Amino acid sequence: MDGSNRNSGMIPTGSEAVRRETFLRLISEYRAPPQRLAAAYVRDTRDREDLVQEIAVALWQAIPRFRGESSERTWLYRIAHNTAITAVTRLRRRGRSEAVVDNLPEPKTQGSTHVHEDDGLIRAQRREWLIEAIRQLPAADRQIVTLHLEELSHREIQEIAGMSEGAIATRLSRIRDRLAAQINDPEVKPL
Amino acid sequence: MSPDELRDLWHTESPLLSAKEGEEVLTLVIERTRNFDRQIAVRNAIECCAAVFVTLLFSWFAWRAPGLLEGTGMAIVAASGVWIAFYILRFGSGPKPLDPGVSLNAYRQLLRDGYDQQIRLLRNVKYWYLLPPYIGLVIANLGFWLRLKASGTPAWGAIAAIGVVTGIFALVWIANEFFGVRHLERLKRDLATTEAKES
Repeated sequence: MDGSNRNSGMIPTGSEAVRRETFLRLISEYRAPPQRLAAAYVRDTRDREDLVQEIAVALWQAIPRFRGESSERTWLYRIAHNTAITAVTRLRRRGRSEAVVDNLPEPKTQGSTHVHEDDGLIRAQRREWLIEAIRQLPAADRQIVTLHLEELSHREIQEIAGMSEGAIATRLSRIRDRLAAQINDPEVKPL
Repeated sequence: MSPDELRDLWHTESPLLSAKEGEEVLTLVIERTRNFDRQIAVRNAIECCAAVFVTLLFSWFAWRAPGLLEGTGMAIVAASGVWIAFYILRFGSGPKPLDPGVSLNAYRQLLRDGYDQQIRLLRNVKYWYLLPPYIGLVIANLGFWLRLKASGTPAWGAIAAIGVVTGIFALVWIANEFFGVRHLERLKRDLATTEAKES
């Protein structure tokens, strides 16, 4: 996974050159996660692009404040989630909520009548349904499940979300049920 | 759908977003940050120029004032201009960006604190921004009224001037209190509503 080898370590801060170098390294190592997280928060492609850019801005502004109290990885995910939550609240105020879209196509499973269709299309559609179901979760649940899907440990999720590991496990179990119900796919198994 | 399949789906690259190179992203980020700083700097420069203009104009009026009370009022307005310019230069950099590297709960607390601080600042505007020049203008017009009265000339002009000044300052205060503060309170309520929905 992107940046998964960077579980610890303190970001060197100081001169502008070091800040630039750190920023470039971080966005190179963690290129994909902000894009995936943005998809879990906003539907519109332009809003997503904006959000990814906002995350980059937040990262740039946060680098001088990083004191190594958490791992670089968890710190980055915190920045991404907090920026996304602020962006979603702002979009809601503009009336551009991430409410359910009624005309999304039905999810296609192996047993569906559309199996002859291109595998890539089916996969893309299933992914959209997963993301759509995640988007409908409350922010705290969304944060936990996306971090889980990003392959962070319960301990790392605890560091980011500020919840106990027990609470995270309980929530994950509840989210699993909710996702399963929303995707309405009988093959959904525990996360 | 297995857990691995879920993760696999999740990790599928979205083809919709443009893939910008590192240097390109850095340039965009720096440009965006600078634009924000530039907007604040331009706003501050305009307000500072206005304050300096008010200071020079009312210093001249105070110097040329025919009476002590009028001169004192004009001098207070001129001093208010200096005070406002100083305040803008000293505290006009705008709120510092929140630290997004904290936990979700801590971040929400920071957001709430930020709104509270902005509301407090807006509510205090009437004391440090409006009241000093208003007092100066009222004193100057009071002096004007007393001078007209002493010379036996009808003093309606001075009374009307006090009324106009009071009206303008009241409008600014109302706009600030009822639109600025209410807007921030609405944002704070939105945040609380979002949190309540998610708890």
